[in-house]
Amino acid sequence: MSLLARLRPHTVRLLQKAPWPLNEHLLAACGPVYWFLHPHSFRRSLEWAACQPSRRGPAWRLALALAGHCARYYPYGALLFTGEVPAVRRRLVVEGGERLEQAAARGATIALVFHLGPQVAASVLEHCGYPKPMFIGTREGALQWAGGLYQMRRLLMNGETVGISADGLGREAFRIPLPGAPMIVRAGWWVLRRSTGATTLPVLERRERSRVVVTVHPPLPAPDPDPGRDLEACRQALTPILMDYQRRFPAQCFSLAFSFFGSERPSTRRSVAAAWRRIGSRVLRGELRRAFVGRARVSS
Amino acid sequence: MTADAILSETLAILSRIAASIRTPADVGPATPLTDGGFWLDSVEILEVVVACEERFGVVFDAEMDLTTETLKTVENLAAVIRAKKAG
Repeated sequence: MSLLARLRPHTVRLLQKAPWPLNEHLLAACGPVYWFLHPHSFRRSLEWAACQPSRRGPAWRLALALAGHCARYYPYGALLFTGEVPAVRRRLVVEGGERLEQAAARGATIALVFHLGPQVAASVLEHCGYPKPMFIGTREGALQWAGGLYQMRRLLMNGETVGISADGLGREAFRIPLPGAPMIVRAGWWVLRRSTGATTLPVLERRERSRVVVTVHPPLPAPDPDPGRDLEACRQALTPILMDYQRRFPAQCFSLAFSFFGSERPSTRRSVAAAWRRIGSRVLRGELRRAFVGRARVSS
Repeated sequence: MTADAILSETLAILSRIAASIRTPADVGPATPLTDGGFWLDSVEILEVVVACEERFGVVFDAEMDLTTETLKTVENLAAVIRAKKAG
């Protein structure tokens, strides 16, 4: 288990005791620590930030904001939904939720989400009284993920609403050219859409002034019998939505900036990151302190 | 439908979806569906499963029938189909 994963439950318990939005600001302030744990991400985010035409100020400031959001969103759901119901409700905004309601009433619906923003769309929609898309947990490997896709297909054939990420892992369908790095859109959702005829609604989420805003966009065009034309139609429908999101909220596009699902990291960068993690873990366990104290005692 | 017929039909479905370029020359019951065999990805495995459902008139249980073990080789998949048809 990684150091971050081991610290997560303790951090969340502590932060849940702090008032909202102070707790999320505290987390964001820890963002720069992420740079030390993942130096390759820092370098990558600086390069990405320098390519953003919409940024205000120097690239390092946007890179800092990216790291802040990355830290803020790590246990975001656990903090966002803690507290009295009216207080939680005030933190949530849904735009275009009626589109999801109408589509779900008609039958099979895919809520097409992205690794952008806080990643809490399903819970936000449920809290605000809209149909909650069912997500099947991410499974690595073709065999495991095939089972997940089949499960979603069955749900769709029963007229349910399913949530699936467009930009996670799996076979590439197409790329959306965005400043800094393209978004690699995967084929899983597209195959499900074609095989079930499900209405597909792009769903994007963002944080704005300590509130989470989930936007349900108009549905993608109905599937074209020709797969090539259908892919192109989907690409054309998604491109302006994602370009607009990146232009307006570049600091919340950390999955693009850090290439979470893009190309493989060079091995040298990976080893540097692993070294930082090892040092952090040893400091935490007190090993280094004990080693230094032990040496001091021996020399004295 | 005999066990051999189910196996050969399953092989035919896999060969069609993997196409000739990825179908190994020495294809048989022990050929893996993914790495080192037909090299299918998750989307293609879904296609195989749906094609098997249509061809054999069975409905799989996502949790029970489609596990890493049952989707490992041609024989394992054919065994699940046989069990579904018998049950």
